Amino acid sequence: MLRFLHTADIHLDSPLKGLETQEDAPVEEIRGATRRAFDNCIDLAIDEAVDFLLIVGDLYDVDWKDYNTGLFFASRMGRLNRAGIKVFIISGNHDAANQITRTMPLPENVHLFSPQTPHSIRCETIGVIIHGQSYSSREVTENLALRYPPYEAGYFNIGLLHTSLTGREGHENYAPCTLDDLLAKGYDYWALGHVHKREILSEDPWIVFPGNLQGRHIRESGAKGATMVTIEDGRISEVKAHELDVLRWTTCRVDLSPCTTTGNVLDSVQQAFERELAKADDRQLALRLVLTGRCPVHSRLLERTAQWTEEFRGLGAGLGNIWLEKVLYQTSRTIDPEEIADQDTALSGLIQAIRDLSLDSDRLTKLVPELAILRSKMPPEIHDDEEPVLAPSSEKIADLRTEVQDLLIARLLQHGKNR
Amino acid sequence: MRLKRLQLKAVGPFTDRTLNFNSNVPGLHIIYGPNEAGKSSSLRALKALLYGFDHQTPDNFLHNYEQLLVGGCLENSDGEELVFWRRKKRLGDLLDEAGTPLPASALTPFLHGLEPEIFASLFGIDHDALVHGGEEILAQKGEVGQALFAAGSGISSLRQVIDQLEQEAAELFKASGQKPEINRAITSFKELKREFKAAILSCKDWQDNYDTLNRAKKDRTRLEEERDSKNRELRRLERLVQAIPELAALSSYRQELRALGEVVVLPKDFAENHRRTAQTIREAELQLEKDSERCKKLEVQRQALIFNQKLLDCAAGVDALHQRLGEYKKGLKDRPEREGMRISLRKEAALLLQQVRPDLTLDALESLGPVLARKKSIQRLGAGHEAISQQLLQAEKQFRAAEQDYQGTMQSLAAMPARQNSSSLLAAVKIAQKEGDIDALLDRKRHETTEGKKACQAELKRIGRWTGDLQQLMELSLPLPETILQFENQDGILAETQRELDKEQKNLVQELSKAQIEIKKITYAGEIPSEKSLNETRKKREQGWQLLRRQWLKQEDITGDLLNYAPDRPLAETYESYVEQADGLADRLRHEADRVASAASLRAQVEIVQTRLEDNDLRRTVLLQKRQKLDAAWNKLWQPVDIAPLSPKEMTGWLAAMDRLRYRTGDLIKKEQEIKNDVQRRQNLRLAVIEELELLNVPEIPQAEALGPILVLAETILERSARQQAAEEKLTEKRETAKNHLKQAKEDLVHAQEAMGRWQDQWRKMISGLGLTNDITVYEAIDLIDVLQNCFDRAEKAADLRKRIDGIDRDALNLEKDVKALLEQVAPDKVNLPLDQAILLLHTLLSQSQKEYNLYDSLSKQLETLQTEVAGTEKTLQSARTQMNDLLRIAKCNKQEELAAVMEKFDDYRRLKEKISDTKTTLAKIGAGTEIEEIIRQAEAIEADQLPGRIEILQRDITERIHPEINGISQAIGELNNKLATMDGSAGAAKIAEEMQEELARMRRLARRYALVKLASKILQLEIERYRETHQDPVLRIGSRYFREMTLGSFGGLRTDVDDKGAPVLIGLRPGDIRVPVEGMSSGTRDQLFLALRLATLEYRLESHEPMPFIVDDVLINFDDQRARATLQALAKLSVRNQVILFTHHRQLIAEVENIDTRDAVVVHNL
Repeated sequence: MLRFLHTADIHLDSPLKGLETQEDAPVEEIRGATRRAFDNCIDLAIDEAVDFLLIVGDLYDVDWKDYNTGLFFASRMGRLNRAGIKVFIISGNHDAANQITRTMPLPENVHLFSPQTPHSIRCETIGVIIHGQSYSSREVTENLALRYPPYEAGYFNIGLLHTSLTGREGHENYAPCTLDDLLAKGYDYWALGHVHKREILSEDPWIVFPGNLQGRHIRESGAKGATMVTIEDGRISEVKAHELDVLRWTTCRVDLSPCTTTGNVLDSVQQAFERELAKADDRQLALRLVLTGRCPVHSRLLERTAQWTEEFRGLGAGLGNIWLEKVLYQTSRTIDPEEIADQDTALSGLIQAIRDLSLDSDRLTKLVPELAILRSKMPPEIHDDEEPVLAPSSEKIADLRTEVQDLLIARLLQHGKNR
Repeated sequence: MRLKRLQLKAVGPFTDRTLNFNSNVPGLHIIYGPNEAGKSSSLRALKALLYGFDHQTPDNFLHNYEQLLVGGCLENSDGEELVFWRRKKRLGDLLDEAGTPLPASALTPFLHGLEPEIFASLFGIDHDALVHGGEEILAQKGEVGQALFAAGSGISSLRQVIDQLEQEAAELFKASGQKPEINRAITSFKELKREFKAAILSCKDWQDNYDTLNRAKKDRTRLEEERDSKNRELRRLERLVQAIPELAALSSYRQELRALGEVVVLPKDFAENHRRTAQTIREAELQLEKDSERCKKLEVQRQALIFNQKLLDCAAGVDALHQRLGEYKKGLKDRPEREGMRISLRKEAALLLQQVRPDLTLDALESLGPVLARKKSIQRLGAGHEAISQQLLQAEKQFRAAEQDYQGTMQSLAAMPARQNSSSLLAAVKIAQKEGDIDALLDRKRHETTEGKKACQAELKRIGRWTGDLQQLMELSLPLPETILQFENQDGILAETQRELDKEQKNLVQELSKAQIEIKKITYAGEIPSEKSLNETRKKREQGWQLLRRQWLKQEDITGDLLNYAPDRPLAETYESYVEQADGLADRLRHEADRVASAASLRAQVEIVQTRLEDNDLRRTVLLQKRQKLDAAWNKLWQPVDIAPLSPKEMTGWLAAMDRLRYRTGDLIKKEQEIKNDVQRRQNLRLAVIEELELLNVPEIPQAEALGPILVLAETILERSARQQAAEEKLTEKRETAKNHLKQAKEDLVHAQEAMGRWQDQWRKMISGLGLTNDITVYEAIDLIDVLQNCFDRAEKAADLRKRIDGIDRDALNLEKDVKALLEQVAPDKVNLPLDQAILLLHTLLSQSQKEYNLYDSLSKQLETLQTEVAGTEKTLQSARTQMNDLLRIAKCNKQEELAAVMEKFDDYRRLKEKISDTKTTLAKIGAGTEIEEIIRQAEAIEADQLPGRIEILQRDITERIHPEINGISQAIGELNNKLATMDGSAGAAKIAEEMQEELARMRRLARRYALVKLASKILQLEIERYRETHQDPVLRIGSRYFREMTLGSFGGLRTDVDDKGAPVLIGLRPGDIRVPVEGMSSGTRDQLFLALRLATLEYRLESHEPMPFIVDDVLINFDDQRARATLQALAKLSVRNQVILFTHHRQLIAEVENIDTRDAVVVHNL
C-alpha cells in the first residue's frame, strides 16, 4: 500500500482579511492561521506516515517578502526529512515572482520542479513517477499541460499542474488547459493547484483540486484542507479530504421575520451561531452575519446598529469560538416604505427624495465633500478590498440608499415617539 | 377616514363601554375624564384598535391578556364602513362582527398603510410634543424649513436628529483630528506599517549573513592549523634545552660504573637479613640464661606449702550445716508461741458450737462440712423469697379488679335498645344525591328554554318575510346557500352586462349625435359633392351621349328612350347640362377633397354607429329575456317557502339569519326533551327513597314533587341510625377488652402460685442436714449457718498450728545427727563439742585450708609456663645459626668478618645503577615519547646557545599574532550565529500584517458608516429645504389664520423674513405691521405657533387627501382660558372636515365648550 498527501495554495503568512479585533479579544486564536494549518498538514503527513507530500504551487503570497516565512517552511521540510517523507513541489504564479522561493535552501528530501521545461522524477522503490513544471513568471498564459511527458508504463503516473483549467471564478486564467488535455496524458492522478475551492473534476483518472489549506477571507468560506490518496496494487483505492483549517469562514443568514421582540432576535442569532459551530466541529469561526426578513424589530435594529453589532459580537464571544467578520442588516420594514411614499407628508417627501436621489461616486462626493478628504487620508491599502469603500458600485449605491432611508426613518420616528 | 365608534369591551378599567362618535360632521370629540377615570387606557385602546395591542400593556389589571378586547367602526370618505374587533394576540387579532378572523389587510382601505409610528407622529399630538415643538422653533430661531418640516411630519426634534447624525460623524472622522475613530485607525495603521517594515527579514540580509559566517569559519580553521604546527616546534626546542644537562650526567655515571670492576651481586634484602639474623642469635642466648634462674626459685617456694585435703573435699557439707544452724535457732524460738495460739482457737470453737448445736462435739464438727459448702446458694435462695411472695399478692389483686370490670360491661351491653337496618335507604339516597341539585337544574333549564323561545320568536319576527311558528320553521325547506350564490353570481353577471350595455348605448348615442352634428356642420357649408352623384351624373352623360350617337351617327329613332332620359328638354341641352354637371362635380370633388373625405368618413361612422346601436338593442332584448328567465327561476326557487324573495344578495343574508335561528331553535327543542327526561328521572329517584322510608315506618313523609325535602328527611334518619350503631360498636369493643384482661389476670395468678410452691421445695432441700427445725424463718436459718461457719474455721486453724510445731522438733534432731557424722570424718578429736560450736569450728578450719591450697596451685602454673618458654627460645637459637651459615655461603665468604667488605662494594654498584636509570627516566619525560637516541641525535645537531633565541621568536609569533586573530574571528562567528538565530522563521512580521488587515477592516467599516451618516444628514437637510420651498406659501397662509385665531388677534398672522445670514425665518405680525421674531414671543405663544403650523399642515393636506382622525392629548393645559377657548374653536372648525379626538382631564375645558361658536360640531364624552 502506498499513500501520499496532495495540497496546494498554502499562501503561508498571508494575513486574514476583514476581521476586526476588539480589546481583550483572544487574538492569538486567529493569528498565524496559515502557519498552524500548514503544521496540521505536516502533522498529518507524519502521523499517517505517508510516502510523499505534493505541494502544487503558491507556497507564499506574491508580494510577501519576509524571509522568516521561508525559514519556517524550510524547518517544516526538515521535520518531514527526519520522518523520511519526500516532498515534490511546483511553484505557482505567486511563487514565481517571489524571492524566497528562489533563494531558500531546502533539505534533500524536497524536490522543486524546474520552470524551464516539464520533466519527471522516478521513485523506483515505490514505483511512482511524478511529472511537473514550475511557473517561470507570474503570468503563464500558455498551455503547460500539452508539453508534459507521455505516460510511462510500469509506474504510477502523477502530474502536478498549477492551472485554472478553462477558467474558474475569482482566479486568474493561468496555464489554461482543458480537461481533455489532461485526460489525454493517461496519467493515474492529476494533482492540480491554483483554485482555492476543493473540486474533483474526474474520478477515472482522478483529477483533483484540493483547495487551499486555510481560508483567508469571507470569499474562501467552508472547510479547507488537503487530500489523502491511497494506492493499492497500483490503483487508487481511496481519495479522502482532510479538514486541516484552524479558522473557518462562513456566512450565516438569519431570518428575523418571526421576531417581535429584541429578545427574540438575540435568541434567533444565538441558535444560528450554535448551528454553525456544530457544523464546523466547534472550530474557530469567522462569521458573517446577514440578518434578513420583514420584521417589526427592523427600526430598533437600524437605530443602533453599532450597539447591536457589539451585542452579536458578545454572543459569539460567549460561545467561545466565533469571530464576527461583519453584520449585514438586510431586514426590512413590515410595511413597504413605497406605501408611505404615496402620502403627501413631510416623511413621504423625504422617502421620495431618497428614492429619486441620483447617486454615483462623484455625486456622493459632491453631496458630502468630506468624503474626498477622508479618501485622501486613508492609506492606499484600503482599496485592496473587492468592495471599494468610498467609491461604491451601483449595487452598493442601492444598498447605501436603502440604508440611508432606513436610518433616517428610524431616527425620525424614534424621536417622534420619545417626545 | 373617521372613527364612528370605540367599544371598550374589556380593557383597562372598562367593561362593555361604548363611545359613539356618530355626529353629523366628523366633529370634535372631547373625551373627558378626571384622573384614574381611564383616559390613558382609552387612548391606548384607540391605538390598540387601529394597530393592535402592544406586546406588554398596563391595561390588564382587570381583564387578563386573553380577555382584552376593543371594537370599533371606521368609515372612509367613500362611505364604506368597517365594524371589527381587536383582541391581544400575535396572529389573528383582528375579528369581524361575527367573530371570524379578518386578514390584517382589512384595515388598509382605512389606514392607507400608515405604520403605527408614522400614524402617531402625523395624526397625534400630546402636550410634550407641543412644548418640544415650541422649544425647537425657538432653538432654530424660527428657521422656516425646520419648523414646517417638524410640523408637517409631527416630529418635533429634527435638530436633535441632525445633531446626532453630525455628532456621530464627528466621532468617526475629522479632517484635522486625532481622536475620532477613523483618524485613530489611520494613525495606528501607519504605525503598524512602520513596524512591519522593520520586522521584515529580506532574502539578501539572510544570504549575506550566511555567506560571511561560512567564510569566517574557514579562516579560523586555517589559523588554528598554523598555530598548532608552531606550537609543536616550540615544544621540541624547549625539550632540547632541558635534555642537554641530563645527557652529560648520564655519560659520567656510566664511567664510574666501569671503574668498580667485578662485583658479587647480592640479593636485594641481603644486608637486612644479615643484620636480623645476628641480632636474633644475641637475644636468644641472653633469654635462656634469665629463664633457668627463675625456674629454680619457684620450685623452692612450692615445696614449702602444707594443707588438709579431707576437709577441702567436704567443703559443701560444711557450708550447708552452717546455714541450717540459723533455721534451727529460729525454730527453737517460735515453738512456745504457736502452741499457745492453738489451744486458744480450740477453746473458741468449742464455745460457738455449744451455742447452736449443743448436741455435737468439736470433733464431730467435720460432718457439717458439705452443708456449709452450700452456704452461698442458701443465702441466694433466701433473698429470692421476698420477691416471690410479693408477686403472688399483686396477681391476686389484679385478678379481682379484672373480674369486676368485665361484669360491669356485660350489664351495660344488655341495657342497649334494638337497632333497625337502614342500608338500603342509604343506597337509595346516594343514587339520588349523585344527580346533584336536580330541582335547581330543572328550574334553570326551564327558564332558559322559555327565554330562548321568546328570543327566537322575536328574532323570527325581526328577520321577517316569513310567518309561522318555530315548529314550522324547523320543518321549512329552504334553498341551499350555494344555489343562492349561483343566482347571485348570475344576477351579478346580468347586472354587469346591463351596465355595460347601458354604457355602450350611451356612448354610441353620443357618438352618433356628435357625428351627425359634424355632418350637419359640413353640410351647412354647402352640399357636398360625392363620388356617387358624380357617377350618376356621368352615367346620365354617357346615356345622353349614346342617345346622341344613335340619333346623329346611326340616324336611329330614339324617341322612346328620349322620353325616359329628357322628357321636357332637348336632348343636346340635357346632355350639355350633364357634361357641365359632371365636370363641375369632378372639379369640386378635386377642390373640396378634404371636405368630401371627412363627410364620407362621418357618414361611414354614422352607419357603423347605427349598426352597433341596433346590435346593442338586440343584445338588450336578449338580456331582458335572460333577466326574466332568471327572475322566474328565482321566484320559483322560493315558492316552497311561500315568500316573495328580495335580491339574491339580500336573500343570502336572510338565509344565513334563518339558518342561525333554526340552529338555535333546534337547540331549544333538544333542551325541552332533556327537561322531560330530567323530570321522569327525578320522579323515579323520589319514589325509590319513599319506598325505603315506608319500610322503616317513618311517619309524615312529604308528598311534594321536589326531591329535596324527601332527601333531607332520609338523611336525618340515616344520621340517627349511624350514631346508634357507633355507640353499640364501642361497647362491644370494650367488652372484648375486659374479657381479655380477665383471662390475662387469671393466668398471672396461677403462675405466681406455682413459683411459690417451687421455692418452698428448693428451700427444704437446701437446709436439710443442718439439723434445724422446720418452723425456723429464712433469716434465722441464715444467721445460724454463719455461726456454724465461724466455729468450723477456728477448729481448722488449730489443726494447722499443731502440724507446724511437729515440723520444728523433727528438724533439730536431724541437724545434730549430721554434725556428728562430719566431725568423726575430719576432726575426730572434736566430736564432743556442742552443736553450735562444732559447726563454727568446722567453718573456720575449712577457710584456712582453702587459702593454702590456692597459693600452691598458682606456683605450679607459673613454673609450667616458664619451662615452655625455655624450650621455644632454644629452638629459635638453632634456626638463626643455620641461617647465618647460609648467608656466608651466598657472599662467598668463609668467615663472618669478611662479609662487611663484600657488602660495601655491592652498595656502590647499586647506587650508580639507580642514578643512570633516574637520568634515563628524566630524559624520557622530557622527550615526551621521543627515543633517547633521537634526543641525543637532535642535541648533537643543534647549537645549544641558539636555543633560547629561537624559542622566544616562536612564542612571540603565537601569542602576539596568531591568538588575537583567532579570537577576533571567533567573536565575529559568535555574533553572526546570534544574528542568524534571530532569523528563525518567526511569525513576527506575519502577525503585524494580520494586525494591519484588522485595522483596515475596522477602517472600512467605520468609513462606510461615516459615509452613511453624513449622507443621511445631508439628505435630511436638503429635504427640509425642499419641503419648505413647496409648502411654505400655502401652509403659512393657513397657519397665519390659525395663529391669528388662537392668539385672539394679538398677532395678525405669520410671515417669512430672512435672518442675518439670509436664511428664511418665521416671524409673527402684530397689528400695525410690527414684526416679532420667535425669540420675542412667550413660550405659550410659541406652542400656539407650532400648533397653528400642525393644524395648517393637516388642513392643507385635506385638499388632496382623505382626512384622518387627529388625536390630541391634553395640549391645552398651559393655555390661558381665552386662548384655550380660541384653540378649541379652531379645532372645532377643523373638525367639520376632519375628525378631531381630544383627550383631557380639565373640567374647565368642558365648560368652555358651551361658549364656542361651532358648538354643534363638538361632542363631549364623559368617562
